[in-house]
This record gives sequence, structure tokens and C-alpha cells, in this order.
Amino acid sequence: MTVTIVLLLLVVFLVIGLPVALAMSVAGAAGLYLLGGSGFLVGILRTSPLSTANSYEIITIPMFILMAEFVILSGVARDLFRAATIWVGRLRGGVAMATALAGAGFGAISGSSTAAAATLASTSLPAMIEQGYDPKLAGGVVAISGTLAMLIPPSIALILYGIIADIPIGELLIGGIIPGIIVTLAIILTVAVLVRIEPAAAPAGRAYTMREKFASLTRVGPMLVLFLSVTGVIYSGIATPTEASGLGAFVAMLLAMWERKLTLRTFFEALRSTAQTSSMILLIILGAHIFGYFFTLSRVTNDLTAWVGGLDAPPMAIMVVILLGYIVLGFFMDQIAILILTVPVMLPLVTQLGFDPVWFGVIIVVTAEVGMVTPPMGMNVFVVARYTRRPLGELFRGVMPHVWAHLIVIALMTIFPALILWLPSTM
Amino acid sequence: MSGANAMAGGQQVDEGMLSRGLGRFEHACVALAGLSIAVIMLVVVADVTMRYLIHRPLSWSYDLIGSYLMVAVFFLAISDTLQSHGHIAIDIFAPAFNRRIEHLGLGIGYGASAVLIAVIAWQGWHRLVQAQASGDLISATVPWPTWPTYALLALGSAAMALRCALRTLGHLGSAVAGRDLVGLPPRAETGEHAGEHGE
Repeated sequence: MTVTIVLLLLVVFLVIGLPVALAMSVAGAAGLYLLGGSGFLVGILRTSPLSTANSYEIITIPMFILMAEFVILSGVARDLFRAATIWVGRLRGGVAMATALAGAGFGAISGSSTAAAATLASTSLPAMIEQGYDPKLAGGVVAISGTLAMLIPPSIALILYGIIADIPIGELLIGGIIPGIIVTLAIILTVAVLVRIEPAAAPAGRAYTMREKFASLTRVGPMLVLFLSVTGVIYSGIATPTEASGLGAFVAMLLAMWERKLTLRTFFEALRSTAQTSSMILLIILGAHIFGYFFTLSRVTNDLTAWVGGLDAPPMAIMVVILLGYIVLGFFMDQIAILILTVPVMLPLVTQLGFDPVWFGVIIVVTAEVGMVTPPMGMNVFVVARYTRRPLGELFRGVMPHVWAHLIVIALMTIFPALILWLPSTM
Repeated sequence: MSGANAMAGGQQVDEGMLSRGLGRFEHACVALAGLSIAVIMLVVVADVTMRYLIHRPLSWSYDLIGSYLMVAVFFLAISDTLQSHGHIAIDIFAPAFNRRIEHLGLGIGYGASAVLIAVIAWQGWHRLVQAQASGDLISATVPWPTWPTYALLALGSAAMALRCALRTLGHLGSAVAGRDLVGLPPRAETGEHAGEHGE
């Protein structure tokens, strides 16, 4: 009965538009009060808020967000796109493929998916439209390429998963590399198929000389430095993910200074924006803690795990249902909120079914990418729509072929978990 | 906040002035939170560099960051983030509601949040007083006081509780008056706050 009341309260507050963190805190607190009385609730409110922030490891969140802010300031992302265009722009649909490559490159130096979509929308979209690309195809490829930042390390979504699930962040981040490459290839392949079906949608671009090609690579250098200072040091074990996040932010700051884009004003704006985004994420983690205490106390997780454990279905069938559930949730909810709300409940279940927690973290982030580009809450499509002033419906249709490709990739990674788990095993 | 006068319990509450004053305080707090982030970055870089170059890491970096700086980042920025609608909310269902119902629901939600966060602030204050009285230190090797940690917690949560209380008055006032006395968050399609989603 208490569980029903609390879940109802949570849903009502979420639906009415109260911030997710507050909805979870209030509903969870109401449940704790009903189960344990006011003394119990106050005891939890006395310790939980501080333990949310009071740790060294949690700095990965503000540091990687700050790194993304500096990367955007530096303008390196624009150069990545230019370099990619020079290499593959000659092909039919080449600029769209270059967009996917630039998205992957940007993802390797930033963990923010919407930031990636915004950067690509302001650089590669105008280039494609100018060359006569179908806006539907152009907008679709930009929206989906932006999601790569969520998966390719440093990924804030994977870090958050690591914090909630209490599993090594280093392994998770490295586990995102191969899936990131596969998703990039899937986007390029989808573009190739689309332009084969409808050649008019994407003209072939001009060819560049080898000299121009190699000259363009000099601008890729800063990106490689950043990538090595983060993912390189984590993989090689030189620094922990926590230390790597601080180093990454610092190197990105130097890069922005080198490019003469860092002024006192932009510096403080980046800091303020980072503080706001970090506190937003931390407040959700606090809400999840309070709600999690209630769930533990009410034994919902145990009961659910016991129930699923007693089902006479093969683990893979249950996993397919779980992943479908995540895709459906992604239609309606923010990806961070999904992670926080579901992981504490799902993870014990998933490990009991015999799945690896690192694999599960990566696969649900790939699933969440689908939610970033599907209606009605497709954040990346909103971002692209804002830049292009194109109708949302057209853009959602443009991204659909990529959604199908994504689903095939998810199926592949579910059938072959080694695609995710092999690289972390070599660390 | 639209800075309108809201009715509460038959008494005129000058929400505008209070909100503006709180806004200035929040602005100062978030600037400090931002500065803490810059210091964290520099301390981590110094720590790693010193460990590799002269095999002498900073012994106090974990405590400085965990006990003070990260606490400042979280608690000094939450209220300003709420004020600028930076805390993510699910806004796709809201247009389906009658505006009055939406205001009423949000008023109740923010009211409950205000109470909850006020309890957190009060508990923080309680621990601050205790820690100061007994002269609590972080650890024997790092003899720094613990009370600043609780002070940051109490200060930030108190501002947040006040901001939630102001939102409550604004939304309940709007529900009664039948017109918007308080700003609703921007919709996702036009979203100013889009940057934070799905990082």
C-alpha cells in the first residue's frame, strides 16, 4: 500500500512538471515517513545530502562538464568537421559521413551529447544545406551523430552509471570505445544506403589533393592531445578517471587559451554553467539516494528480483524485455533521470540473471541514445530544430533510418557482449 | 520569478523584493561554486604533477576537495540553478493540463520540497553548531575544522528552501488568481535549459 502511494506521488509530481530531483526526494521522503516515522526520516536527511557531495570521486562530473565547456569555446570541433570533410567529402553523401566522424571526434573530447549536437548543427548543417543536401537527411545525421558523445569516453552518462552502480568508472569508459566506433560506422553505412536509394538527397562534393588532406590533419592534433590526456591516461593506468577528468579540463582550458578564445568573461561563464549543471546532476543523485532508501526499506527491489528469478524464462528473453522497456522510457524521459531511477532497481536483477554490470551500463547508454532522437522528448532533435528552423516532424523522420540502424547495433552488442567487454579486459 | 505580488493567507507578500534579494545572494553563491570548480581543477593538476615529477603528492588534496570544495559546488549552486529553471523536469505533459491545475500541483510540490529542504538546512545548522562547540577536525593528519562543511550545506539549502517557498507562493497565488504570477519553465522546443539534458 505504502509503495503504491509513494509511486503515485512520484508519478503525479513528475507529470505536473516538478523538477525530477525534487519529485524523487519528496516522494521518497513521504515513503520513509510512512515506513519509519519522522525520527527515521530526519536521520536520513541529516546524513544523505552531505554524503552525496562529500567525496573525491564525484569531481569527475564537474571536471568533464568543464572540459566540454572549454572544448566548445576553443572551436576545435569546427576544425574536426573541416578535416573530416576534406578526407571523405568527395564521396556522395561525404559531408554527412564527415559529420559522423566529427561527432565521434567531438565525443572523444567531450561527454555532452546536446553540446555535440549543437556544435555539429552550427557547423556541418549549414555546410550540407549549402551543398544541396536534403535537409531531412542533413538534420537526421547531425542529431544522431551528436549522441556519440554520450558513449565515447569521456561520457558523463557512463560516469553517472558507475557512481550509482558502484562499479569501476575506468572499465566503463574504456568499454564505450568499441561500441562508439561501431555506432559511428553504422551512421556512415546508413548514410551510404540512404544516398544509394535516393541519390538526389546528397550530391558528391569536391575532391581535395593529398597535400590539402595532410595539411588538414594539423588541426586534428589538439583533439588527439586531449583524447590522450583523458582516455589515454585512463587506459594506460597512469591516472585514475578522477585525476584524468581534472587533467582533461586543464588541457582543454590551455587549448582554449592557445586558440585565443578564453577571456575572463567566457571563463567565468563556463564556470557558472558547469556549477549549475553539476548541481543539477548532484541534486538528482540526492533524490535517488532518498528514494533508494525507501525502496530498500520497502523491499521492492528484493521482491522484484525474487519474482523475476522465479520466472521460467531464459535470461536473454528477460534482457530483451528490459531493453525494450528502456527504449520506451527514452521516448518520454530524460536520459539522466532514467539512469538514476532505474539502475538501483535493475542492476541487482541484471547481475542475478548473469549479465555483466559493465556490459549493462554501456548497453543502456546506447539504448538511451535512441531516446535522444525519438519523439516526443528527442532532445538532440530539438537542438537541431532550433538551429535549422526546420519542422520537428521532418527532422524526426530524417533520423528514423538511424534509429533502425541503432536497434541493429544494440542487438549485435546483446548477442556478442565481447564487443563491449573485450577492451576493458585488456586494461 | 516574475516579481509579482502574491497573496498568501490573506496577507500581501512582496515576493518581488524578496525574490530579487535572494537572486542577488544566489548569484554570489553560484560565483563561489564556479570558483571552487576552478580550484578543484588546479589542485588535481598540481597533485598529479607533483606525484609524477617529485613523487610527493599533495597530502591534503582529497580532504580539501571532498570536505569543502565539492560541497561548495553542490550546495552553493542548487538555488541559482532552480531559479534559472536548470533542474531538469519532464515538461511534455504540462500543456495537457488546465493552467490552474498545473500551478496548484507545482505549488503543492514546491511547498513539500521547501519543507524537506528546510529540514536539511536545519539539520546542517544543528551539525554546524555541534561541530563548532566540540572543535571537530577532519582528521588527525589534516587538522582542519569540519564546521565550514556544515555551514556551506546549511547556507545553500536555506537559500534553496526559501526559493522553493517563493515558488510555492507564486504558484498557489497563480492558481487562485487564474493568471501567471510566476514563470513556468521554458518548454523543451524553445528550451533555454536544453544544454543539461542527457549529458
